[in-house]
Amino acid sequence: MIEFKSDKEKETLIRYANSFNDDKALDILGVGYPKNDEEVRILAKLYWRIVESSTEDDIEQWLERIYTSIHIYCSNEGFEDTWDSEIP
Amino acid sequence: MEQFKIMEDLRVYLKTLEKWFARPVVKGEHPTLYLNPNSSNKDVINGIQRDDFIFSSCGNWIHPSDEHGLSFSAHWQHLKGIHRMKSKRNPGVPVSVYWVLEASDIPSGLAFIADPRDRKKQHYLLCATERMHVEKLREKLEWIADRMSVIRDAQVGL
Repeated sequence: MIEFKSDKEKETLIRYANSFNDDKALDILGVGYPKNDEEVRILAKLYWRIVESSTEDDIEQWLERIYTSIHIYCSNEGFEDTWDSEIP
Repeated sequence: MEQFKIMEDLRVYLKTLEKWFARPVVKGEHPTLYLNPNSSNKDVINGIQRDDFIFSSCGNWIHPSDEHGLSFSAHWQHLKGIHRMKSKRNPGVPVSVYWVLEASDIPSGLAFIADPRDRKKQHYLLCATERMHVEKLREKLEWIADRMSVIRDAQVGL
């Protein structure tokens, strides 16, 4: 499982995935972790889309925490190159 | 003064250093404190983000924890992503990298501890190792900031 330090990290991802109608990302977040490279890419695209589009005040601290949580999961599970390759 | 024009310059420079801990910092922001007067963030107490440390219920004291602290990168792969996020969120504003060597002296009561979730130890937390008043934590974070080295982002405006 992706170990988020705070519930708000996952809640933020789910909220934005809902607003983008990103069903694939919602499925991955529902399971709790990406199972393969394709799912890592889906999650990464969601993350960077939030980075590009969010207008929320003070979202940056949460974007930093979310990045770290997913980065650690991907690094632990051998998906670091795929996660890294999605950095725009 | 070190400057990097492209991320590869930054990566190459960091490789020349002994073990380091680094944070990307947007120009105009403080290396270790959150002092943005334009921010509506009500979760900042005396320049310290409430979610970064364990505060007493009164908000005046910090409790020790090796799972809470100020976030630092200890590996290029982690640093790169955080830097890119901050650059994207602050278009046209330089994002420099502040860093400190593991071997450096840091104030008593603080320690760099690897994020317990991270088997590869790319992410560290600057943790409080003893109970302290929030003013004391702020002093210590300012002390560290004053002694951090910086690699400035020269990309913007080129």
